[in-house]
Amino acid sequence: MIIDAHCHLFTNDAALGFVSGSTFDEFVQELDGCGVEKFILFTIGGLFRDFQKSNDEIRNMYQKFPERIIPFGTTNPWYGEEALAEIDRCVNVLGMKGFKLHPWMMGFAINSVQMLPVMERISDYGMPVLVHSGTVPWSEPLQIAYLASQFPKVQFILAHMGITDLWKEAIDAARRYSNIWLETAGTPTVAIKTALQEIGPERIIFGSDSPYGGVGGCQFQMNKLKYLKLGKHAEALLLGENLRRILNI
Amino acid sequence: MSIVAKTLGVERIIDSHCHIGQSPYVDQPVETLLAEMDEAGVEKAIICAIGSHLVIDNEEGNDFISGVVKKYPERFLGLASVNPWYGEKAVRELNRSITKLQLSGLKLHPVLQGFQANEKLVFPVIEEAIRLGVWIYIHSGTPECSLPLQIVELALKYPEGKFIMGHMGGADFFLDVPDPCAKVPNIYLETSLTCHPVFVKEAIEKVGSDRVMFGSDSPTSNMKTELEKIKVLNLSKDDLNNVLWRNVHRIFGI
Repeated sequence: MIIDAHCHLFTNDAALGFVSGSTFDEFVQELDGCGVEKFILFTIGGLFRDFQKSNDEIRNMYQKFPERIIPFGTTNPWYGEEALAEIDRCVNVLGMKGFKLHPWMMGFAINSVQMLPVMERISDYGMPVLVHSGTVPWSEPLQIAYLASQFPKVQFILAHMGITDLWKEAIDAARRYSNIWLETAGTPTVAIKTALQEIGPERIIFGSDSPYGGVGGCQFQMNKLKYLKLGKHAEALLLGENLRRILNI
Repeated sequence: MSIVAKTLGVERIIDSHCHIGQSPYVDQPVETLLAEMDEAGVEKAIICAIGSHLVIDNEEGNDFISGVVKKYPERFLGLASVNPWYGEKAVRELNRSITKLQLSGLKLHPVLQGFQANEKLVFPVIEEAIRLGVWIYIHSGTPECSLPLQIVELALKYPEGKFIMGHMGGADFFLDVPDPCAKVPNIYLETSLTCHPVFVKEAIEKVGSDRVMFGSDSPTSNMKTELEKIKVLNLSKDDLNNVLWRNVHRIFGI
């Protein structure tokens, strides 16, 4: 089963001017074309504002497509108690299976003290977190890894595995901590190739960041893996099996 | 015409940004690059140095690139690497590379070479490139030394200079590329390592397809992967020809 670890719900009010993506229907069609059966879905607009409302939007889509969508919530550590209450609501009311955090868009440092109560609560629920990585100064792989070292029960997925500039330290992070996983959206070929050589295929996960890439975005991200000629075993792990282990599905 | 070019509906494909040589993470002999080009249907490519050839051993690197270009004149043009920290020596090496080694332009990598793209240190090298009339390719997208707006600033300071913004902002700086570069005619954009197809599309819409050039950054990225990124944009035939070969053909004569 092919699972895409990284998809956003673009809604009308959501920062669409930021970069043009495609609509939900367009990108689901694109995922269909790529053979993606399930995908993790989280907000884009809620990373900037109204995170509770954005979590409701994810829940609504989940109710419409329960077989396709693996819903992830988000919460903003700046909101203190309210942020913790939203974690409770995401898990107990909305049925979220994990959390997405985007430190630079949401305006916090991943290793700031604000994050500790948030991570404690997520850890209590045993939920995974997918954290944007690769952008200085607040979303660097080793900063996320430092947090991961303090919460060994939480599986940390490094979205973009450090992107273009910090993939070397993303691999270092994964080598040092077994609860770090690397997700491939937007990462150059050499990064995935090196990660396969240095840590093996068991903790590398396919993601497309759809619909950020626009039309053809998912296909492009998937072709990147195809041309690496992974072989059947590694391909199955990257395209879904690894994520199934994290999510217990 | 290669089958791939035919499938894409273009007359030919030229890759404006490839590497040969060794660095701590990659090792690409020329034969590997040629095989990749043949498989991807890429007729010609512009090559430049990596690793120590790019950063410290510039003479050795330029001799190496020049040797490969002379061995395969039908397939390659080469860019010279000089590190501006060498001062006068860098200026002389650029001159030697263009006039004696028949290299075709200058490649700068502010992050690896250790300077900020628009700082005074690099001015003598830029001025020499302008005297020689060659294009200047600059890596972009990496804070804090190689940012698009630093390159825009450099291009505004030197309107007679001819600049190529490599990776056009890379993963994170796509907001700084389409609009600012639309107003600066002496900057061309190179498409490799942009992490989403839509960034290229937005740049083409704002800057125009006559200033955007396909590059793969092989072996950091993969030629076919990078070609797919252009393919999925569904460009008009004219735009596709511009991006996949016509622009680089026009400005480098390759």
